[in-house]
Amino acid sequence: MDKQLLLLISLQELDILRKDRIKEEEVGFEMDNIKKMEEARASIVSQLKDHIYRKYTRLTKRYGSAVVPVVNNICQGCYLLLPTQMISPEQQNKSVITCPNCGRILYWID
Amino acid sequence: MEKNLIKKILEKAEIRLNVDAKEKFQIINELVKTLKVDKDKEEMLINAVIQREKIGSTGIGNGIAIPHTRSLVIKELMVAIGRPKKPINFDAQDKKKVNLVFLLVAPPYAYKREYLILLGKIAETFNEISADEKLFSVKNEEDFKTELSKLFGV
Repeated sequence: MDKQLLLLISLQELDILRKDRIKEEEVGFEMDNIKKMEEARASIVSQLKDHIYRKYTRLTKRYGSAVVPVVNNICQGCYLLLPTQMISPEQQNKSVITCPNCGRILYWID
Repeated sequence: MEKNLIKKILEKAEIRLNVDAKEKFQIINELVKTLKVDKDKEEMLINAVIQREKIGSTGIGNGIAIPHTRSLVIKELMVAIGRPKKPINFDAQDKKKVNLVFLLVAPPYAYKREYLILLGKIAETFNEISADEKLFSVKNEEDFKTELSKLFGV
């Protein structure tokens, strides 16, 4: 898998954790080491190429989530059936590819 | 509705009794491996659960821990329950060592509800779970599931 894509997925998972904090605390979990979370986030961001991080930020602001899975060749962000010629199975997850319709970053889950 | 959901999740859950693990990251590793996902996804799940654990322990007390995370690399909620051979230090809120671990991994957006329902159910029942001697003495996975289902009332 492409290293930048892997970092983007980790970054999105961390951002989900941040959002989940209130719900988690309601259930009874403590998430007290916020410093650790911010450090982990900064470390991921420092490894991302600038233009890719900018794209991630822009997409997150617009849609809430920048990286979406592809299931049965369908972008799970906008539900567009991706053109089959767009990317061969061998190329999937080997670079940062965006949906031609909504622009979200794609992760082939299968 | 909620009962059916928990019943279904329990039926599909992976159970491991007598897990040979000495510390919390080791049992997380072992439990993620029972989920039988591809190697690269397995590694990503382990990292995500450990990352969550570093932010705050999921050892909720009375010997129960619920390591969990949401991850983009899976399509549905997956659960693995492990009973370690010996109690493990999980940096739990009450400092007690843990002798039952519920690992939950869920996709980020879909099935949001069932993830929270199960988390809530375990958190609300953890005192009963930890007091149930049978749960800690049964010898096979099926009996364990039956006992846990009784505790959850499903």
